[in-house]
Amino acid sequence: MKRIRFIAAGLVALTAAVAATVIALAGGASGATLQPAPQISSGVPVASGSLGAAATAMLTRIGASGAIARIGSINGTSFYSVAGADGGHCYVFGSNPAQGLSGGCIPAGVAVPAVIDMSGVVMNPADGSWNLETLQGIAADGIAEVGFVDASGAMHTAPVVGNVYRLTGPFPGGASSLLVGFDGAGKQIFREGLGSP
Amino acid sequence: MLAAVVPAALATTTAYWGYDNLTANNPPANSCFSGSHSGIACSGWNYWDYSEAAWNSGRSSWTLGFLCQADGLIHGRLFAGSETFKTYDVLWSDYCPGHYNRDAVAHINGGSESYNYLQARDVIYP
Repeated sequence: MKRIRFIAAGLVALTAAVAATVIALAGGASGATLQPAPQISSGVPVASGSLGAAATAMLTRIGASGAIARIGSINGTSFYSVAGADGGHCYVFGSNPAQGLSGGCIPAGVAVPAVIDMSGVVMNPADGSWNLETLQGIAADGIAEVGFVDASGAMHTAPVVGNVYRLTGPFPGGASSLLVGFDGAGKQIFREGLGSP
Repeated sequence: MLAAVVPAALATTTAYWGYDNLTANNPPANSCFSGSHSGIACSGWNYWDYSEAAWNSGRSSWTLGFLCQADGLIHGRLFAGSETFKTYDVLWSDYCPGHYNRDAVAHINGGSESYNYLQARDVIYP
């Protein structure tokens, strides 16, 4: 685990060092007070419309009308940031943009968490029990690893490579479940409860 | 299957939940189907393209997605409670193997509050 953590941290540092383009996530013409998003150094600009008509329609629908950056891709799933029409920050992902994308926008003036988790769950509708199906999302600079603490207390971690992470489950969810983020030294710097109020 | 050209204006949107508080007990049991757990709202069966939510307030954990015909389970995006996405769209093919499903939204016990005040919607393109 330490070796994996070390390699992931190295990749993140290298990515940050050589990134040719630092994507400005804020944008838009609104006069609303803008809230700076966490720094995300990875990203390649994507021409508007190049993701296809279905993706463009979805982005319009959620209010993501500004500059698009592809933060990264893992196992065929790509993660994007898009400037919101109101100056907020939009985050979407997809494995086939020709069909569309999944995501939404955080309005201007609202803080963006350091871990923009877009994990998937599977729930049994008969009893409400749930598993984490996929741990995935975008993490700000400085976060080297994102983890999910399952119902038994076991930690499942995904290295953050180029500001994105993805790990396939399933992992049982429950009262003790958490999302956590670690820096390159293994220090927990993000924590969010999932299981109990 | 989603058409190759789908202008946003042509989408049909229908609300099936809310605006209302999504909690552990609202909607009550059997709201989605006979035998379904409380805290789950869902639409009818159709070739929905997106499952959409307009979130207003609250900090509990919840999920937005689909009751997939393939396995009878709800597959969706986890909202842990700290994000404040306003309008969120979930594409059917990111969660279900087939297109014919029910849109669904469900409370997950967790977060710093016990509710989310939101509207859940079906979105379908011609």
